[in-house]
Amino acid sequence: MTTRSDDVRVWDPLVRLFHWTLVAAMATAFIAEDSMNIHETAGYVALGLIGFRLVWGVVGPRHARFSDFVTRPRTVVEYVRSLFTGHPKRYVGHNPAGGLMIVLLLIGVLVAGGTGALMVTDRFWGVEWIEEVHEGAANAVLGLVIVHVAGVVVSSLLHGENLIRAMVTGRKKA
Amino acid sequence: MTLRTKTLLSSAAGLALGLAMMAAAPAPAAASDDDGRCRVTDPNATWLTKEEVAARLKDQGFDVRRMDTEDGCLEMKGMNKDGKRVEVYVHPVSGEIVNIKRDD
Repeated sequence: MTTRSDDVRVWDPLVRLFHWTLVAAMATAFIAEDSMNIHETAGYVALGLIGFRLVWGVVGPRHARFSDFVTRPRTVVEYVRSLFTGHPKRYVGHNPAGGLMIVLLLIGVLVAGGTGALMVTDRFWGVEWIEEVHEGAANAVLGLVIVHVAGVVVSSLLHGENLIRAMVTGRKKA
Repeated sequence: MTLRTKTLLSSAAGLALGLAMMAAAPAPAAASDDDGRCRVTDPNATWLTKEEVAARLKDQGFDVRRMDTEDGCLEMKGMNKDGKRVEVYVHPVSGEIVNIKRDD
């Protein structure tokens, strides 16, 4: 039995739904790479989700807002350094490194989805540079996701909390 | 190991497994674009180049934007003479069009 309780609500239902639906959409897009109907649908879903997140990051509840977790590069460096001291500063919302990861992922998915949508227009059909940017962005997102999961695990261990479960239940300890 | 750590590691393992499957999974078996029609059995056959096929398709009225290979066929991505987006699959030896896919 755990001795502490997760009693602070941090992630609202919409931000959590957004997160896991995006995971599903991106996984589908990768796995169904050669099945165009599924792949394209997944891509449009991902783009729609990003659209929602950009709005929610401005008008949503406190920890969903970009102002809560998008910080200067120096703050990110300081946070990462603090992880090595064994006493990292704890953030109830996204920590600075997490905030940077979110920004990079949002951009990556936007570029991948956006170029994907362009690829099926008459103007850009068969145009090599668009296809290469699309593939590059998709691979970058995959790489970022791997780093993201690793970062979540490291932060969780160092802060003594389960950040993955927190993104499911929405709750963390105070 | 505390219960908390076990829960965390289980969650991470689950996610990692999902990611690994995503990255390593081969494309689901779908009907290939050529249905094996681009198979070449004669070892002495002369293969057409992408440029040669592109030129032939241009002569037929296609707007050739990109040449590739797929499933043993030469694949052209471009527009047909009606201005519609197509993928044209050509046999690499005979030069015959084996399939045309419309993208819409």
